[in-house]
Amino acid sequence: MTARSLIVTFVFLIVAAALSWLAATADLGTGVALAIAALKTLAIALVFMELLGGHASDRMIAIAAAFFVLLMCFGALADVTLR
Amino acid sequence: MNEARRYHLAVWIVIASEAMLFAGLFALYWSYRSEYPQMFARGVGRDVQWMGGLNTFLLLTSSFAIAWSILMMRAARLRAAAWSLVAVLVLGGGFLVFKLLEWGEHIHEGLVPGHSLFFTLYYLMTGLHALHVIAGLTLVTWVLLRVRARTLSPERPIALELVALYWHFVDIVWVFLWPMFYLMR
Repeated sequence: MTARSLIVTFVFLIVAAALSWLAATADLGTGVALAIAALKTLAIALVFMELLGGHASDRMIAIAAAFFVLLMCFGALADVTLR
Repeated sequence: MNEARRYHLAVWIVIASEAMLFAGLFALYWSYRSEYPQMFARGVGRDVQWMGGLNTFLLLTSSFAIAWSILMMRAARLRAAAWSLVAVLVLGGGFLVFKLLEWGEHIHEGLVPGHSLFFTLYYLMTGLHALHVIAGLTLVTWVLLRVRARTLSPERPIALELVALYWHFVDIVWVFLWPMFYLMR
């Protein structure tokens, strides 16, 4: 973690937040809003939480948690959609 | 495995468990949203957009501030680290103030829990998130006191790193709550 990487990530997060708002204003749909949120999450996790270059066990837990969160959301959505 | 590694693993496991808690609520949200899309579109339309946007800016900036405090701590610049933590407290406190103002506005308009599925989930999820913000601010206050008392080692400020991990997680949850309750119609 360097000063440069922190500042670049912060600027990226603010620009991404502005894009989220613009995408909502232009009514680009839920997919775009969630994709931008996922990119912000990735930036926070990799740089601020130091997963990039951090210990492999931390990355393993983070990936497993993200996988199960997605699985639960898709499972619930599939139940409603395919009913 | 050294002590710092053990603590880091423990906090990552706590974060993963917390992620599962919110995953259940996210799943509930998406199920109801796909069943009642118009109700959710109306609900999003009634939320105070500028407060949601401002709160996003406050939390993203607070995440940067706590990461900056770690950088300052590792460089043995204790004063700068302490001021960064004060910034986190001010930004996080600001988030809670605007959240309370928004809830007050909704309650004044009769949009209370139970008004609709959207607002029941809105209060449940933003309320649970606000509790996490309060817990995070308590931990940041504790770590700030330790920095001021010089009981944290600049070579390995474990307590600060662990509290920062938790704070970033709280930020990530809001990164998803913002579009779900304020942007996606």
